[in-house]
Amino acid sequence: MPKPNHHVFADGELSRNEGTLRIDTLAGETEYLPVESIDSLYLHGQIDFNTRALGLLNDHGVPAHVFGWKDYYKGSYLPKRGQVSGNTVVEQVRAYDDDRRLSIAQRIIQASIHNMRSNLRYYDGRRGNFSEAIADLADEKDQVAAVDTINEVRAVEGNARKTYYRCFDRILRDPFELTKRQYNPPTNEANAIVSFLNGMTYTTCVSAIRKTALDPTVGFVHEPGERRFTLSLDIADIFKPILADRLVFRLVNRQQITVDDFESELDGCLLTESGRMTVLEEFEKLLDETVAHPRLERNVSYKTLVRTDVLSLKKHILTGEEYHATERWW
Amino acid sequence: MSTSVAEYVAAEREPAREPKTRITGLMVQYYHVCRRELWFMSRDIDIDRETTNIQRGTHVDETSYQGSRKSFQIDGRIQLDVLESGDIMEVKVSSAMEKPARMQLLFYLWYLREVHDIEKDGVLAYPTERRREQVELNTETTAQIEATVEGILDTVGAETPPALEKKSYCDSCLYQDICWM
Amino acid sequence: MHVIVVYDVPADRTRVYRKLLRRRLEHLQYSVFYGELTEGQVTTMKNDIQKKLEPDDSIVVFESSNPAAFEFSTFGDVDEPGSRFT
Repeated sequence: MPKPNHHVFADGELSRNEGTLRIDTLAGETEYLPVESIDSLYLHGQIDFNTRALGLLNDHGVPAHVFGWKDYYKGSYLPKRGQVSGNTVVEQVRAYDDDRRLSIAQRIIQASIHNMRSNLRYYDGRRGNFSEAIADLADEKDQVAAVDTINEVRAVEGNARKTYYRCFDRILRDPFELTKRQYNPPTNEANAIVSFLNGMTYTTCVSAIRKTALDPTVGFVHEPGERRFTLSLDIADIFKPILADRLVFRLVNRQQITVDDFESELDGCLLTESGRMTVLEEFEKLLDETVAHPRLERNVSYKTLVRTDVLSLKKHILTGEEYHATERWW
Repeated sequence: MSTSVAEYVAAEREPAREPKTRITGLMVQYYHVCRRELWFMSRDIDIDRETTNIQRGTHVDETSYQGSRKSFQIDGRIQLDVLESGDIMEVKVSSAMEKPARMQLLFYLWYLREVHDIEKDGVLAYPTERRREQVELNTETTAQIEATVEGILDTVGAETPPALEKKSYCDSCLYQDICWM
Repeated sequence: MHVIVVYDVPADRTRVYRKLLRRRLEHLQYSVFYGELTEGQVTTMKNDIQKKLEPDDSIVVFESSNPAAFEFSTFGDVDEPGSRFT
């Protein structure tokens, strides 16, 4: 079982004390966090920190993901890698530059479409008839293998995503509806919760990539130069249906999250703080859920699945052995 | 001695000529445990160092027979413990991996003889089992270790890792996840 | 695995163990620490404790590798042990 994440919602100051992390909250409480037992640190509140605190995170390889006002993702502080593996990064860039880029992108998007389709199959019959969309996604997954350029891969992926998102309104209990996928800012409740969990999936991928020697900025589907870590965006495409969408359906349909957990601000709609807490608690539980892994012949958590996916990509880049992008089998 | 092994020895004997592959004691062990593991390790493919057996090994190694042995670093790649008797000692947690441990010690003895012209005998010690075993270079063991060195050079020099193969100790291997994924 | 560490040491030595334990475990109560560690972490922790040990120190490490066999209840003003939120 991988180490758990820790989320700081309180406002206050993060510092280094007696070799570990100390938080002094504005409310006057002091807490110590076991720096050696944390996978990633999530800062949701207003936190002051200094270079000594960052140095400690660095020493223990703990990435910190920073969120700002209303939990908009601001960015990540990635500790430098202990054993720098220049060779891995060189090969990664070579793979981006040669014909491996297309085949890696194809694998990623095929897995992404497979996982979208798997969600529709789960809800087919439960929340409506999705057989047409399921068939379309199967076709689109096949099309990905037949194209010759990254742009075509992205075009097929775009179509698949439209097909998939069109089913959301029927899966989601009323009055939640996606109608159209919108972000920056999300315009309704469904968009708000999807955006929030997509962000969590993305940071989960950032942390997993940090633990390999791969460079998070060199992606295969997404173009380098986009605002974020493009490799993390790639891997997040595989896991969004598993870690974000499926949880959205579950939380909304079991009414763990209702419209009361959102607030409208200006032209956007966002989760309230208590809504975010509920979602994050469930997200952390989901990361701990386990499935029997046919290749590893043991039970692994969803969080481990992200890590092993990245490991498989790394091995593919270094050895040419097949990349097993995670396609939901359970 | 095969050509590749002879070239390796010549390169090690010549301070200015670095051998392409620097063989360490751990590599010798890995070669006899799993060649795929050796290949991954030689490429700096990193592993989770929090795994138990490694920690335990380090502790037993650090705390056993303190005082009666002296540690030496040779050429930055070989860490030897020399007993008061002059024998080279290798400490192991258990005899479960007896052959890899014996080959590692033989490699040290062979390396000292071929590269530094020093003739030594060895002792393999299992403190948790209160057991010791004498190890020495003779015609048979020399042939074994030279075959090992040749095998290591071949494995590490290959472009791709040796094929996947299920072994009984895969479950406890540090490379399990990257190897099987 | 679940780990609980309790200690009873001379006043001037509490700092030594507090520092050693806080890095890996949650400081639950005055001289009680709790957390989930890997086997490797438990081993290094025990090694570290052993290195610091002096004649009057007493430390107990409880560990349970079966999560199903581990339960706890809380009473009064305590934080939930193992909480991932601050």
